[in-house]
Amino acid sequence: MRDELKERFPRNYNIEKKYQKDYNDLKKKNILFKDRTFNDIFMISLALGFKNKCPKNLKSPYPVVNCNAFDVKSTWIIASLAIKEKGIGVLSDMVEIRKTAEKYANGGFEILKKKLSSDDPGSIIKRFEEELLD
Amino acid sequence: MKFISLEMENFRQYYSKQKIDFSIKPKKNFTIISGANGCGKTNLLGAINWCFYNDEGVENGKYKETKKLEVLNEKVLDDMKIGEKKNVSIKIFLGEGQTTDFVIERKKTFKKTDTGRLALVDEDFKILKKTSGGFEEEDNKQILIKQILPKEIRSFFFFDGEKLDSFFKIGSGTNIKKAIFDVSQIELINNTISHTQRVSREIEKGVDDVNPKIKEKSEEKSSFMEKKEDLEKQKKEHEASIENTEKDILQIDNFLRKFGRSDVSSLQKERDRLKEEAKSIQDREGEIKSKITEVVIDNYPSSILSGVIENTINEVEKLDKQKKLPPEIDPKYLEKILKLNKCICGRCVDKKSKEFKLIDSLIDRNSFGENASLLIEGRGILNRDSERKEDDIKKLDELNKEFLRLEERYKQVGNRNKEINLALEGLDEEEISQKETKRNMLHMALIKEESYLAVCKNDIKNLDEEIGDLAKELDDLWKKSNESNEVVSQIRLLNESSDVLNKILNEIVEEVRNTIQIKTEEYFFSMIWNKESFEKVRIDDNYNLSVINSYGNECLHSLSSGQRQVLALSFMAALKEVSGFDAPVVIDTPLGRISGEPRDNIAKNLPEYLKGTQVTLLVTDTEYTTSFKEKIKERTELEYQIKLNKKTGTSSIEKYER
Repeated sequence: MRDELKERFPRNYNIEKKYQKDYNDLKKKNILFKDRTFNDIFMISLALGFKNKCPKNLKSPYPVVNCNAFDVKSTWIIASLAIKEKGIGVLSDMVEIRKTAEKYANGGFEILKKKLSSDDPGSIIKRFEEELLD
Repeated sequence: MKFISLEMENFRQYYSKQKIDFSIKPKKNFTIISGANGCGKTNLLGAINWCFYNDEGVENGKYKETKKLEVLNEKVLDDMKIGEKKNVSIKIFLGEGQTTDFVIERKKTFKKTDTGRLALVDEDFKILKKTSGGFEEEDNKQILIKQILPKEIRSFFFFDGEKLDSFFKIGSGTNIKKAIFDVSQIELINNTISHTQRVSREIEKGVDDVNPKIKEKSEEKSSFMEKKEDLEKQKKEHEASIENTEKDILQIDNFLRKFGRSDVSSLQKERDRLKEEAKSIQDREGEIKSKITEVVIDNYPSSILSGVIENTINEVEKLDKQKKLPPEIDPKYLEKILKLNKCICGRCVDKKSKEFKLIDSLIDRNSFGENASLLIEGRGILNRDSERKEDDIKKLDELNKEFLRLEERYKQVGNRNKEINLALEGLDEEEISQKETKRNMLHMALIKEESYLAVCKNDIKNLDEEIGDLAKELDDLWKKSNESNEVVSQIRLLNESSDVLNKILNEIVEEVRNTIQIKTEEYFFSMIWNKESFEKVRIDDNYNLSVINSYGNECLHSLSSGQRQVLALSFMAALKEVSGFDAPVVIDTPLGRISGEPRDNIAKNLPEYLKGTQVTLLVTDTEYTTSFKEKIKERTELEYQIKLNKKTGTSSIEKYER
């Protein structure tokens, strides 16, 4: 399916440079993100950042999230977050949409890291699942 | 390389001289040697191994040791007079085409001493190689054997069909990993990696007056590497111990299964079934967990952000109500209706009609600029996603229910197992009760060893990460240090070499694993009769082999014995092919213990097996049925029968004329 919104997205989304290794490790070693892309880690982080109301601007942006790998649903979740913050007019400003997503994913990634260091993947999934079913 | 012929003299129950010519025609390259149980088929396989490697093959994962006197035929031994000498010999003639290029001969000479004992007085092993001037003895015999078929991988060429099933039963991941590593022939690379790492450590240690930070990090890395080496040794010990314990348990199980009391054998058979069921439950639970993870990771963002998604949908609805969005019909289509003054239903839409005005106003509704159509598309995507999410939540619910059912069944299986253990242990038959007590102890030991192994593996994994990080840090420190360039470049060269070698090693193993997976699947589908029931064969990162059925579920443990035999034969053929050695294949009891319809099904497709490879099948009389004969005849040139003389206990091989 053609995704007109994704076609307007910049090529990459950024993460904090210091988290580059963590993203790699998660993709390679963590059962939650096995056979997944950086985009999935980014989206889970974004959700956690939003849920905990902790957007955090990037200090040294590093492009690792390839927008081509977003599915249509994710592009619209990202856009919806920006629409919620800035109004529907933000659809003409792809940079603003990107920045909004990046800051929530950045804040959320810290939470994800803490969760992963204090809990096993099974319990994390169980808790996510409970939130999902609520 | 093919077997042209085999000559043997006085080997085990084969009395005097015996000869077998093998089928060497490209399309008729099956040789069938049939015989009743106990007539010496397995000893024929042993004879080939003995000639090549001076032992009689692999049994239960260990080389079957040959006691020096056992190989001599017992009748010969009885007939021998004091001072008389007799030979045991095997001669194998091999060739690339239809004539002999090599002759491998192993001979042992025994003498009956004055006291009537038997002594080995001479032994000889030689390989003759064809040259332009005739056959000449080869000096580098071991190298030549390695070139024909290395000892480490011969069990993929000479094997017992009855034992194949246990290949997948006992710690399958470990067995399959070992097979893949053996077939990859990576020992040399492994040794080179260890050597480069050792030399690098030595150089690092030997540098005087080095930057204290480098010294500290270097010592730390060294100590981690030593710890890792210790752990690798421990890991091997645990793996060996697990393998041996599993084999001991299997032996007891076999004993109980065949024990002459129906209550004992039926309890054991029930325990076998429960074991299979428990494994299958665990596999399915693993699959369910993966599916749950997948669904949760996919839906968590949209669930947490459901409020913002709803907000977008509402915003779009609002714009729609304000008539700021174009209709969800392509404006070009509307324009066409106005141009033709006719609707698709044939109704007239003239300029004065209210329909014309309505369509005209719809075309005008595009006041939200270029984002208008985008918003409509977004609303559609987000609405569809909400519906999909509902389906996913239903799926989650079903998966969780299935998981709970499986957990419950797993508990029942465990309890029934305990009951069986207690029943067998408490039997009034002392031998059974002792065996069962031993089995329970072995089982406890197995659980303990498995947990040690898991800890060991985890520690190695963590150390690997630490060593990797330290190596990077050290590399940076060396770059910045004032050490002589020569030392720095030596260390860096060694470290880089080690990295490259590791990468090559992993790539080789990965490639071999993939190829074996593909080849096993190819053979499986060429031989299996109900192809439509299966989708694929997989070997995962942990070297666990699985078969996926047409519903997408793992079904290795629910395969019938016939299907498992096909899988095992396919895996062996894949290993043989990937090894790159063009040696002949000899299979003892290819159909294992399978009977009835499954046997006919395998027999039907066996001619498809290893096309282009010379295959010798050592089959039992019951295995070699008329229908099997009929099906295999298109690839068979020569057939033999092993005749056992019950009076003398000796066997002879006779050509069987059709």
